Amino acid sequence: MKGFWHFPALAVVVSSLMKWMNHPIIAAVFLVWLFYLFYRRRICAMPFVLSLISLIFFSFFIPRIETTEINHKQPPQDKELTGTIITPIQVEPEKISFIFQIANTDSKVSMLYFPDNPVHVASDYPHIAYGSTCRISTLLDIPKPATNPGQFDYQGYANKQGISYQSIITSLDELDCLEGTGFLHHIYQIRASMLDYVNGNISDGTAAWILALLFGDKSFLAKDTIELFRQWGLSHLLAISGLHVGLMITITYFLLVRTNLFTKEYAQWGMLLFLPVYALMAGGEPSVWRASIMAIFFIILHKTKWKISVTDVLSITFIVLILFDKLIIYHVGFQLSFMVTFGLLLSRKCLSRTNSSIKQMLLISFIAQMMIIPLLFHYFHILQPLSILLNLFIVPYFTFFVIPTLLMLLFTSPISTISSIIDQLFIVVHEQVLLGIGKIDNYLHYPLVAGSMSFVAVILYYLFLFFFMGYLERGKQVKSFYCGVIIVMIILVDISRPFFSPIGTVTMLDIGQGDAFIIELPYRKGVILIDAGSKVTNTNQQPSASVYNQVIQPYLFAKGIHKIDAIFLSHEDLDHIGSVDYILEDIEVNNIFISDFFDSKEIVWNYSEVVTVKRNDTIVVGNTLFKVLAPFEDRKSANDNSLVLFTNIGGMNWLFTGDISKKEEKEIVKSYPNINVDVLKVAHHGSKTSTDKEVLTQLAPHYALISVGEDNSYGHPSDEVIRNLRESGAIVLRTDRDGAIQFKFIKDRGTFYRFLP
Amino acid sequence: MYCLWCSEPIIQQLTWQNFFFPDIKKLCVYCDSLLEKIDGDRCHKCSRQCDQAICFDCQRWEKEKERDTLVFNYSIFQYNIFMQELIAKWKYRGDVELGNIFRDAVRKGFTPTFAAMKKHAIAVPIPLSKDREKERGFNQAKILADFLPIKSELVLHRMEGEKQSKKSRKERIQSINPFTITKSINKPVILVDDIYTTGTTLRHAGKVLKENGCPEVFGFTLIRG
Repeated sequence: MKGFWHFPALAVVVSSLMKWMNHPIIAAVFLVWLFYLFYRRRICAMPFVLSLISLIFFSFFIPRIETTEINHKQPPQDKELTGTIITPIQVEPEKISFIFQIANTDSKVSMLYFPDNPVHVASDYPHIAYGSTCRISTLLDIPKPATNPGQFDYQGYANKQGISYQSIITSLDELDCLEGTGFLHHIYQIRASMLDYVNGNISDGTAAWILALLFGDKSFLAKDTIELFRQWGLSHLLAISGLHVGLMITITYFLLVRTNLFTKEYAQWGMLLFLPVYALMAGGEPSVWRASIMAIFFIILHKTKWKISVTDVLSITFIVLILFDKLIIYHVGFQLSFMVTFGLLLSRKCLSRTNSSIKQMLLISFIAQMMIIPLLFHYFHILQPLSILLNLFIVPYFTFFVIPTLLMLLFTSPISTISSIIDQLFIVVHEQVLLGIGKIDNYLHYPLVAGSMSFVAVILYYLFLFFFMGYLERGKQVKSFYCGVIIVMIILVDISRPFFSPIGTVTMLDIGQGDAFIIELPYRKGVILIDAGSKVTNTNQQPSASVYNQVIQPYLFAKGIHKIDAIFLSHEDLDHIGSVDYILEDIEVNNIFISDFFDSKEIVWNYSEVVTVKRNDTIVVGNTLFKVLAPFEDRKSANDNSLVLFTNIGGMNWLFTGDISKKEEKEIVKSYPNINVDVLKVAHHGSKTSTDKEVLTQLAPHYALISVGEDNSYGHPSDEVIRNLRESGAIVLRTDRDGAIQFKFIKDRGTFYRFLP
Repeated sequence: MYCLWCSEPIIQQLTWQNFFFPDIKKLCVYCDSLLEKIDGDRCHKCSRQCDQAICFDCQRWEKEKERDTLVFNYSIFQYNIFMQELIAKWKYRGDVELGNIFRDAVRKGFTPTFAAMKKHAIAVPIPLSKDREKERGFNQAKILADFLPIKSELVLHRMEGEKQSKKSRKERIQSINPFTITKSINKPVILVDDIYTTGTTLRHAGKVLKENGCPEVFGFTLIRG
């Protein structure tokens, strides 16, 4: 069985992929392979049988994540809940959260508290901690599902953690807790007070990095920094992994032995006890557990003189972790951590071919990146190809400077004179490095933006990666180069799928109360936006980034859109244009079209390619023509000055009306008496001041699109408008009930789809 | 799995190459490194490792056209000290299992050389005399031939005689042909044996085959002595 433990581990991967794809094809391929190897006597009975058992066992053991299943389960109505806190309390500057298990059920609740002032939970509320039994009066909600393609599905995310409900606590005083007991409770208490201690005794900037890199708590790092590291493939440095665990072990072992406190024997036993505690202290992320369990294995192997291959250790660790927590396999960090480690272990022979440590580091960085490219596209839709080079500099910087310095700072922190010097030094150096990464981000920003790779492409990708690395291992550089070229081709062809696709789409995004339409022409001949609204911040009435970050950008990136040909803006209200500023920061935009009477005085964005258009102007994007029907004179009202567009897409005539009122609608049908509309974007989110009944009779649309927020304070859409639309024979599609609405077409035929069932 | 030579456990190192199709290792990494393959320039005719295209021995064979019945011989390993010990234990002390060490190397060595004639060629192991086979319990050439991906047939019979390994080069070359044939083959034949030393044995067998209608005879041996 030695050297063959990866077979049962692969069986686990296969059974979970089978669950995820909802198709047994991958298991069939795996079985054929397994039987063939057994038949050809490449594997003995033991790995063969264990793999089969593993495949069968785990395909029952790993649960399927079904979002719909939980939809039907209404939360219990009783307000008074009793239960246990089953995770450490996550304290962030603007959010405090933990998971609560309701007593005598398996229902878990994600509890959230948004404090007005910073709270030190560990010192102020010592009873609110891991393992405490609490009573609380609060209402339970079902986590919100995604309502747009590409949007983060919070419901699915919660399901993957086994969480059925969420609840927002109004005050921590409402929690009536009885402190828990036990080992874990004490460990987490120590951790919580250490976090408090670090935050209190070390400067904020440095403390954030100590918490992230030594305690696995990223919440105090600036969001921009985390985003920057993620985009540049440096996130693995922010997640505690083998690198950190290795350093911790080396330093602790060195201290124990060199100070003559322990013999080597005892020091090793000490490490065995210390590692699990460290994993808990370091926040217990899957990558920490992976590294710690592997380290424990190696110490045991060293002590017992057992011999077993490194891939066996990794495989057994993998299986052990899943047996402990079956949902962990859906954890992104878990997947990335194991993929990278597995890739590097396979490459040992390849790495030993070269003696140059620079070449080795480059190769390590390269392999780590190559292993996870399909995952990066799937989860983040963006990839910086140059990140391999950046890793080359930043990994040693973190290994030899950042982590040792932070450790030293932590150990010396009781002596404030020494620690403040180290603190200062760290800030000076680290700021410069972060600035440097920021500069690289500015100048070398050549990202690949794409949605998930197709299944076939992923299979081909990994197949050729094996050939590529296999040839490299044998020193056949030419053949390996050809495979490399094929890999690049696979990615490029897969990314350019939209350019070969005859399918076009018109999408009405669900951005709440506001408008955002995205038109993607077939063969990617053009991408057109009509309005891009945002929510407004409560404090200063500025456009908030939330709609862009949560809906528009994820949609665009998931569709691989990094260039927009035209944005039409109907009028200057923020629920129609608020996200434009954010789009311009990220994405290349050719032209913005506005009307003559667009009041741009208060516009925050500064953009040169703005074109003003007037009645009867036509704009051609790709092969699609947009005709401006209004406004023709200044109506002294932003809504009535809305740009009204007429176009034909997918065999349908579309009328985009912005927020015009009945008066304006009547004027348009008077000026264009022969107009024939199939799809009407209902003006002003279905307000009763728009959508005149007579106009509706004349236009007689087959479909009416209403972009409107759920339970909005304006009472949109009005019942009267809905009734009139229904009476006119139109099918009403609305974002508040249906989520995003998509019209997909090939040539002159198309169909509307609702995102929510 | 334990090393067939030193009995240390063998641990497979999983790499990109052997991921899809693991190699079967019969020797541990250290013992495996003691086996020396013939690489670099070799004699085109007898596989001896040398810089000449045709080595001196083979030039002598080529002068005697009618006795030189072999097109060429292909060998895989060099006959170093480790190999001598290995062969001694395998053949003379009867550790049959040791033969499996060579399974992969035999297949991998055979395919590129004989790929072109693979379809219709037949492998013929060099037989042992009846007494010798009884004494040893197995025929090492037959074991090697069975590793090959082509059909093998026992068509030769060997008369009793002295052991080849106890004779000098001259005695060997001038010895009488000990082989008789039990069935004629009219397809190309690849003779299989463990060691090629002077090439006399293979050529004796080749002569008998050719006299009975075989068009071409090749040699495939594990070791070039």
